[in-house]
Amino acid sequence: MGADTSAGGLTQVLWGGLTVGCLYAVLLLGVLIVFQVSKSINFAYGQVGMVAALGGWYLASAAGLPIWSALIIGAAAAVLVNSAIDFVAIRRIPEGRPGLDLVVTLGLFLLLTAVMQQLVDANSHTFASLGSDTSTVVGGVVVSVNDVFVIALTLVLVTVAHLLLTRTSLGTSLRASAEDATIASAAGVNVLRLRTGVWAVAGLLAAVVGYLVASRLSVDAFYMTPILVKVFIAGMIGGLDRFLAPLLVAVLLGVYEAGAAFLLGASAGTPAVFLLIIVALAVMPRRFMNERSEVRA
Amino acid sequence: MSTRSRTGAPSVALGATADPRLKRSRLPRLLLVVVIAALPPLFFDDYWLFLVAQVAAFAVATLGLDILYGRTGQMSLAHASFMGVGAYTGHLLAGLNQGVAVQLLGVLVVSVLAGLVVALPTLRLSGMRLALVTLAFGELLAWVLINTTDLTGGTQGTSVDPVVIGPLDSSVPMQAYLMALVPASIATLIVLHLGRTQMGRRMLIVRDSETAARSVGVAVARTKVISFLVSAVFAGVAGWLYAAVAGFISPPDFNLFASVYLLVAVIVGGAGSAVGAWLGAAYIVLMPQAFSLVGQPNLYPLVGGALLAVVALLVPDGIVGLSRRLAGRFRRAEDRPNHPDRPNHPDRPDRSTSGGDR
Repeated sequence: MGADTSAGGLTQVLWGGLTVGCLYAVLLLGVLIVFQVSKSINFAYGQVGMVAALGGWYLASAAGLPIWSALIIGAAAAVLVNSAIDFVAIRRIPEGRPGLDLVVTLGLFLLLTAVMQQLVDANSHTFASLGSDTSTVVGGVVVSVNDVFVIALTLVLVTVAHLLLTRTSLGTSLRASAEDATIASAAGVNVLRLRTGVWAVAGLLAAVVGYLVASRLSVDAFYMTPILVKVFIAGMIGGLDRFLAPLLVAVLLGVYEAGAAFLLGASAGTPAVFLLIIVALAVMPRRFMNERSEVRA
Repeated sequence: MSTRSRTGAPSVALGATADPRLKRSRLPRLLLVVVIAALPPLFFDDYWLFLVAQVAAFAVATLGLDILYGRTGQMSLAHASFMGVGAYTGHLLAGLNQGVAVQLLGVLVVSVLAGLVVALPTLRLSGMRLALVTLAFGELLAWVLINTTDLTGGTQGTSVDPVVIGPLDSSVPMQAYLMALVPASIATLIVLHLGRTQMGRRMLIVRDSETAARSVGVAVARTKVISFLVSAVFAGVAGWLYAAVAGFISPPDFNLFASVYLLVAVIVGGAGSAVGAWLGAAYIVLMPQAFSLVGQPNLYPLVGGALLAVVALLVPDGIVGLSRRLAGRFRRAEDRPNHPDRPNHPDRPDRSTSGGDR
């Protein structure tokens, strides 16, 4: 993705990979904070972004709403859907049923896809460009407004999240409830409210990434799945209970994918990523790969 | 039937396989199965017979996924992709004018190899990592298919020559049904027997608690890898069989959604039960037909998604567990089961650790 060998040299390709990697990182940020508060993986997470983007497209194109209000409604829908996933499903998973989060959210993944296909349609649509058609040349590399926005957004979000986690009492509460929800709650942390807030913020992140990916490619009911797969892969290699390492892996994964596509042909991204995980998992020491708090099967 | 394992080790160790069903005579059950198997050819027309043959093919896949998910507790999001591996391997070998035996051998070998690539690096880690790598494997297969259009037909799919064994031709619905029944029966027998073997019990304890499994000396990683390989082979054979029966294969048959539907089948039918796997296979094949009949084909994925979430949360043992619980309510008055646990879902297997001997 983002790799266009005809457009220019390696720098152009790597720039494209960097911006895509940043989008992976922002979505992964949502996965990480949710994993912190609920120790669960939400497989329907990519589809939350899809609901926002496909819904937003429908409101803007078919219902004729101004694009900004369509985007705001879409983002609100994403926040609602993501919070509902937690309320309706994840919180009801009984203790001692490891792996059930993945099964249940797979069902929701299927459900959200089917519902959006029913409500809108199954075709691909051109999304609002969000600055991806306005570009300038910097040092031989074509840089679009969208690119700059993506990179700035990633830097800001990661910095803010890092500061929140390490420098504020909110971050302390969050890390405490990630460590042990019962003890945190006994120490006066409102674990449930924290959790609700985190799932809502994660929904917003999914919507933003959904919009940005849609503006670069196109929007349909399936376009977020390959993105989510790579985000999960980055999280898996970097470790879901860490912070900067997985985000860095996400960015590098985008660059790696683009580089592989540049060197080996436009379609080499997928096998290159597969090779990477197999090698990464085989080579990495087990101690590094095991999450401390991972209790699932 | 004794509940002792093949190797003669006492079965109390894992406490999970003391299936009360085994204590009753098997003859009535066997007769029931034969009668059910004889019904479709007697009453169904060619179209439905063709669908039932597909059910048998899918049953091999759901039985395989049941070994992995229902019994070992590992997740695969690429089981339809493993079906695809089998289907396309068989198709390619048939294109090289190889006979049925070579096709089957090829399917087995390639399935094991594909399974090894996915399972070996991941299974010493966690189940979630396996799930994510299988996800990537599905993408890889889709990529291979799209980029080898001259061999596999690419996104357009390809028609598959029927498998002919002696007088049987898989393009004739009646004969396809008979041919599909053979591997499906073998797969069912293997799964039924598995519960009584050491390996089957190791799988159960790995599912329930890896810590407990390790503490009684079960090689957790090896058990997981074997389970994954068996299940990949089942899926490969199922895909080959499906291709022969359906006569046409294309990438959407084997994508992520197809894999999720397989999981829906196993969970809705009842994880950890052979009957559940058959019910699931019937669900996968017949449900889309049923929705088409009432003019709502788009409802199938919607209902599938809702079912998966609801059943996984509220009815952990699926249809089989539900009916067993209802039956248990009737029976409880007359005979107290000597095993309080449901056969396939023991509680925390503490007693297995205290049992000590493996």
